[in-house]
Parts: sequence; C-alpha cells; structure tokens
Amino acid sequence: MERSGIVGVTGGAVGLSALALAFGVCCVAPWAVTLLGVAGAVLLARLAFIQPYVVAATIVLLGIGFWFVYRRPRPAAACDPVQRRRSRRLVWGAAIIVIAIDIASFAPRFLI
Amino acid sequence: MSTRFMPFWPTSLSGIVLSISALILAGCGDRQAASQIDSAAPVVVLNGEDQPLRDDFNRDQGFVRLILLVDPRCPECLRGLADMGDDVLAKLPQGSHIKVYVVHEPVIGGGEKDIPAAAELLHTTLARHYWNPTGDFGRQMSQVLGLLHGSSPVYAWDIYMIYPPNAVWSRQDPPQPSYLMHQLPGLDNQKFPPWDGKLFATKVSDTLAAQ
Repeated sequence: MERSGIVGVTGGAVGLSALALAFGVCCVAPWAVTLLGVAGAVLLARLAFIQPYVVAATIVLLGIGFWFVYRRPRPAAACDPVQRRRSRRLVWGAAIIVIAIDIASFAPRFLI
Repeated sequence: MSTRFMPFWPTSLSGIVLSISALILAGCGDRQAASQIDSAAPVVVLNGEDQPLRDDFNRDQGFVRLILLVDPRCPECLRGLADMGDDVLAKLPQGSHIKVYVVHEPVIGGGEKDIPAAAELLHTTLARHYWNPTGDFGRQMSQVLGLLHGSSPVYAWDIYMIYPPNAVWSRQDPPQPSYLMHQLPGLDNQKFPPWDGKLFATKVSDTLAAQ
C-alpha cells in the first residue's frame, strides 16, 4: 500500500504539472488549436487562471510523497531498506521533473 | 496522516489527474468543427498602407467601431474573440450602430487558413476580417498606442479597441482609440486595462449611448 501511495502522489504531481504546463504555454503555443480545436483552445485559455493553483497542488503532492518516504517507520512495520531507497529515488526524481515542468509552465509569462 | 485512513486515494489520484487532463486535451476539442466551419467570412489582405481597412474605417464614420488585433491560432486571442462574441456582440440590440474589424496577424504561426474558424467565435457575419501577413500593422499600432514593457516596445496583438463614431483615420497611422483592453503580460494595467469581456461590453454600450 505504501509503495502504491508513493507512486500515486508522485504520478499525480507529474500529471498535474503537465496540466500546469498546458495552461502556462497555451497562450504561446499554436499546437493548442491543432490538438484541441478552436473550442478546446478557448476552454484551455479560459481555465488558464487556475495554473498557479495546479502548481501549488503539485508542490503539496510532492510534500506528501516526501512525508511518505522520510517519515519514521512504525516499529511494528517491516522495513525493507532497499525498497525505501527506491521510493526515495522515485520521489526525488519526480520532484526534479515536477519542479522543472512547473518552472517551464511560468516561462511564457516572461517571454511576451 | 496514516495510510490506513486513505486506502485508495493516492493510487486513484493519478487516474483522476489523467482523466481531467484527457478531458481537457481531447474531449473538449472540436477538431471536426474547426475543419468544417463554413468559410463564409471573407478575408481581405492588408497592404502596406493599411488598405482597405483604412477606407472601411473612414467610410463607416458615424458608427461605433471596434478594431481587434489577434493571431488566429493563439488560444488567448481566440478566448478574447469568443468573449467578444458572447459578452459583447451577442448582447447588442438589433441594428446597433457598430462595425467590427478584426486584423489577424501571424504572431505565433497563425495563417490565413485559420481565420474562418476564429471568425466563427464572433457569432456574426457583420465583422470584417483582414489578414496582415507581414505583421506590420501590429508594429504600427504598438507605436500609435505606446505599448511598452519598461522601455521595450510591445508588439500589438491580442488587443481590443473601441473608436467613437467621430473618429477619423486621417494620417498615415490609425487614430487613438477611446478605449482599449488587452491580454498581454507586462503592460501597465492602469493605462491599459486587461481584458474583461463584460466590462468591455459596458464600455461599448456607453459609447453607443453617447451617440
């Protein structure tokens, strides 16, 4: 369960950061109309105001992920050090990806 | 927070996020509609002297006139056009003395072929659409309006302007609008208010009422 929880929050963080990137670059990305059509691009632009909240949610999910892998293990719980190390790598990897995508999602604001 | 109390939410979270993303990125798309739109809106190419927009503008003296500068592939511009159609033009009384000119510019890769789909968002055949392949009109309007970010000029696009009935385009450059809104980051929001369709509609109604 714990492993799946970690995968869930890190996957959720990566997914949400991709959504934030879509919102962030929608104003400068001609692909939006190609991919979504005119109505979809309009909807994306109308929802772009939630981008900062989506980014905040990715940070919260990462925080939960870190809490999972760095919290003190319960004495009764079986602790597998190898598994724990893998989980930490997973969360750190996701954190690097998510932060990079989150930063990229804000970049267009400074380009135009 | 104990995993005991959240037996399934983290695993389903990715699914929820992916579902939302998929809905936005696919389900709400309208590729079919975009390709099937009747290209009824005639598109005229602007020449280096802003013709025929200039002649059209002066011929329509006595009308409130709106000039919109957009890229027909820019989602923010399309959102502006959709708001203009929904919040402004659709709410005007029948027979309102208003003319709409939309100048399309290739800022992020938009082309003449993209104009009919963008034009549909205005829900009116009364608007006239112009294609400015060189993008010179945006540079010209940037100078006319004094669009600056710090000391750097800001190219004029995603801009929505109101001209009163007595405005005349007598010089080489277009006249100053009585009101404008935009969706460009970095501009002084006091001088250039950011786009708000409902507020823009109020300004249009005020200008019409002042006739």
